[in-house]
Amino acid sequence: MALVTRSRLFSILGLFLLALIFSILFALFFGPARINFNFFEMTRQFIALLRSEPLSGDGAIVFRVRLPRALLAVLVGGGLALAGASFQALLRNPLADPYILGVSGGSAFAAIIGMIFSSSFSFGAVPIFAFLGALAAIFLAIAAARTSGKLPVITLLLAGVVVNAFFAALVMFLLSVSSSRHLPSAIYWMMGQISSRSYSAIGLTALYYLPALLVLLALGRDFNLFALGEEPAGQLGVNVERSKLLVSIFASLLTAVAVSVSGLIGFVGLMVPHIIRMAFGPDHRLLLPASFLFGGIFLLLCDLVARVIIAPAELPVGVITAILGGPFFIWLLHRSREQFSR
Amino acid sequence: MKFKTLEVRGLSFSFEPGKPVLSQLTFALETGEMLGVIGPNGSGKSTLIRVLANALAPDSGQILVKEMAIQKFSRRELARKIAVIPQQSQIDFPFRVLEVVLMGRAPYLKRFELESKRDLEIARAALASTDGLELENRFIDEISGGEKQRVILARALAQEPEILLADEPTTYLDLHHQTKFMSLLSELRRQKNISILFSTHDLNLASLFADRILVLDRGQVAGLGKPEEVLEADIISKIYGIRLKAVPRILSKKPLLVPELDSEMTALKNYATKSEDGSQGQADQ
Amino acid sequence: MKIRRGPATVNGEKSASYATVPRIPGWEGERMLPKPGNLAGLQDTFPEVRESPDKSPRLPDSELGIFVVRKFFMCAIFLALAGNSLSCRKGLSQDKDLASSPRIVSLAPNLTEIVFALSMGDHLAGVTDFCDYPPEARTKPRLGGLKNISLEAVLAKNPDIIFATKDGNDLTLIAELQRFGLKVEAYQPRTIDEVLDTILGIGKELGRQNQAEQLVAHLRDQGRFVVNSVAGAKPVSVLLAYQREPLILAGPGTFADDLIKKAGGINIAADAKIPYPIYSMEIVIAKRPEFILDVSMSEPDSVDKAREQFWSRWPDIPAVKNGKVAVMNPDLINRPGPRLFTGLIQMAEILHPERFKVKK
Repeated sequence: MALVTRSRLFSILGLFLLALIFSILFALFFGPARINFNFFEMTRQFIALLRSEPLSGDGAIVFRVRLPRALLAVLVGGGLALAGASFQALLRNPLADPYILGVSGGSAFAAIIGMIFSSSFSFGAVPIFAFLGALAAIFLAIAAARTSGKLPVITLLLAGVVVNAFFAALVMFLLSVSSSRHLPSAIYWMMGQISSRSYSAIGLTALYYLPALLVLLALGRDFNLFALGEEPAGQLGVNVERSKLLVSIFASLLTAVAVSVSGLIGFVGLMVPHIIRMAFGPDHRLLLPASFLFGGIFLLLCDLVARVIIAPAELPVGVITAILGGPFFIWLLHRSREQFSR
Repeated sequence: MKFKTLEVRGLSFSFEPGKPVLSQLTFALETGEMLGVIGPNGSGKSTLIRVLANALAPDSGQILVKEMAIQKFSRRELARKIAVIPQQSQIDFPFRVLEVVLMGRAPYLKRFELESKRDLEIARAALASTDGLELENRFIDEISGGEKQRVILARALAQEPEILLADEPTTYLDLHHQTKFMSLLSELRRQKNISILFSTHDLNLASLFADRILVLDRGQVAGLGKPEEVLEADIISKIYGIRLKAVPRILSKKPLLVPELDSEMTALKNYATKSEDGSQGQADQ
Repeated sequence: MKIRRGPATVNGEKSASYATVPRIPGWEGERMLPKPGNLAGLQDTFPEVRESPDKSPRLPDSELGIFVVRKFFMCAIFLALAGNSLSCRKGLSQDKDLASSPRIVSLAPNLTEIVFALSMGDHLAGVTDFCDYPPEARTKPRLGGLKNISLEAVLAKNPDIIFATKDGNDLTLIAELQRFGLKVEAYQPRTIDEVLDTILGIGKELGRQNQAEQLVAHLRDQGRFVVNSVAGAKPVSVLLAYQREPLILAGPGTFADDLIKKAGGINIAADAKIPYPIYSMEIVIAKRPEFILDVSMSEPDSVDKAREQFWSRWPDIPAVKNGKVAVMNPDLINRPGPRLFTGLIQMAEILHPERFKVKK
């Protein structure tokens, strides 16, 4: 892999962006329902969409069901991949994933509470609960790990594991005492799925992403220097404690937003950074944005499979990512073992 | 009077209150000099370097860099003045050697700025001066220990520092690389007028390469001066808790210290007593 | 004091019968001995022993007689303990036990409804948390949910008969109850006809055959009424949603699917491969259902803003456009009990209002 220069950065990221756009268009063509693709008709419908006019028939399917879902898949996949890459750099651990600071447990617990206490089966309250639950878990983990103004990485890792385990226990408790009619919803949520939300909801999600995106991408070089060790990074001018705190908070925030709209989709945050690292090298100034874009493409394609594989019914996308993720994980362990034995 | 590029006054540090690691240290590093810090385990050598690098905050005392208090520098400004070579480097990601050396340019680059041609030149020059140019495209986790130390040195040089702090840089190197590395340091100091402070276990290495030696004993200064002045067998023996004797070199004033072993002494004594009838036993001094 | 044995029969399937250890609650030995010269007490203990028409000899009222009775009793216990099911089974008339005041435990809400429908609600000693119909069912002692009922709680109720479901309840609980010698009847009706069979079966168990047959006949009439009323009407396409987010529909093999067919509708999810498929909205849009039955809430009367908000996002669906989104109580289409037919009627009235004189 060559050095990260401006031209290399732009060309690679430009390519990914192009691939992303093509993937979205591709996803519009596929789905469980059969569509007639009349170009003229589609354009007309698209314009109607921009004018917030009601759509009909095939146009409604493409622009009210498939397109929002594709956009959401891109956002969620990108966010999870970026968060995963950030945590892998922060914790200097190739097995880190976005849920490592307790987000999975905290958000699942809160989401299930949301399901129990909303009178109908509407998912309206659940995203908010899930988000708050994720935040609570992150706060707990960071607060537990923080000692005299510093955030030791190993303690943070352990704190995350403990918080996750704690909330997982609460989830088990909830599921065993609550009405059994909540069980399927809870399990489905925990598998992770992409649904067709309104454009305003998608816009809101993107808005919440923005600060986290900016902060994490700006810390690109710091991530590189982290690889040398915390003290060497500090001696090269990095404000190590501040960076660690920023990454912990913003990467978790990104994960929390993703989880609130899609449940616990696994393996994307783990696999995508590794794939990018293998292809393009570990320089985070390229790795982070590339992971975001590729994560979006990846989840979009997984969701495509989830939508068509048992048509007319559909699978939650988390099933697909898990099926891909399991073997990948094993291969990753095998590879890292090799490295250690060298 | 040589300029004090790094000065320490009354420096004290402890990890836990009541257990001082460094007590009231006062010394100075002069421009272009190589200062060797020696002392037994636990004397505070590594801690001293970490404090000087501003990784640890001292309990009391002052550290002056070019006559300015170290706290007055921002992290990046300090990084442009002081570079640190740790004992060992554990790099977790498969970066290439040139990328690692380029990281030394970080203190000079703005947040979103990418390395320029000039940065690349500096990095390559640093690598060349440590005899490592052919390693440029190798992966950092695939090269040998000696090569890695040289890469880390190149990275430190890429920082274009005025002061270099090296924490036992040769401990994990074999004899060949040890000498090579120290000669390199010596040469660089001469070429670029960098002031170097290095700590080491090897008394003789210090004796050979250091302009002055600082002896640390339980966090305090037990000696500071030229090797031939400081490396007195009796004093050093007391500090290290082992009997040493000095062996004079032929062409150099710098002493060579070797441990005195009981078995040796007995053998000598026997030899001496054996030849009592004739000549006097040749006892080493 | 009764010795119980009971193989589990699942309606429609016979499971293997196996011997059970007789439970002898509160046996205090001496007290169980019959009064000399009196068969009555003995008959309680050993129903096999009864007066034959030709008047078999009475037991001698002497010490010897008592000794013989004791021995006989202990032999019976020994044999049962040895696990010999055959010789112990025959002759035990269970109906006779339950004809008088039986203590009933119901482990599923549909079975509770059936018990009440057969006027045996007063004898319910224990129900589940979900048993909410008829309203009196809520006053009955609760034993837990469907899957987390404790063995002890059931045993403490000292039931004469336990009604359970194969899918809903915990199978290990059922096995345990049988091991204690309790009579457990497990039912799993999957079609409307099997529901009627279940009613008959429970009626038989409780000695209410007549009432059961009447009820079944009445329900069959209701069914016929609906089928006849919608006969000839053009079937309308229907989307039945158990849940909105995610959109879970009623697939083939569910009661809802059956009801839709009988009520003169076409289930748009009839070609799904699983009974509870999750559909993407795009299929729904493509299939253009004329009616939407939203059964996601059990209080269908309450105005649900979320429900309106949800469906109004898709104004292109004919059902939404024409305001044909109806709410139904899920218990009327989910519970395999008599109310299924109420649900059927309701559904038919919704789908083909023109065929019914809707009385409100």
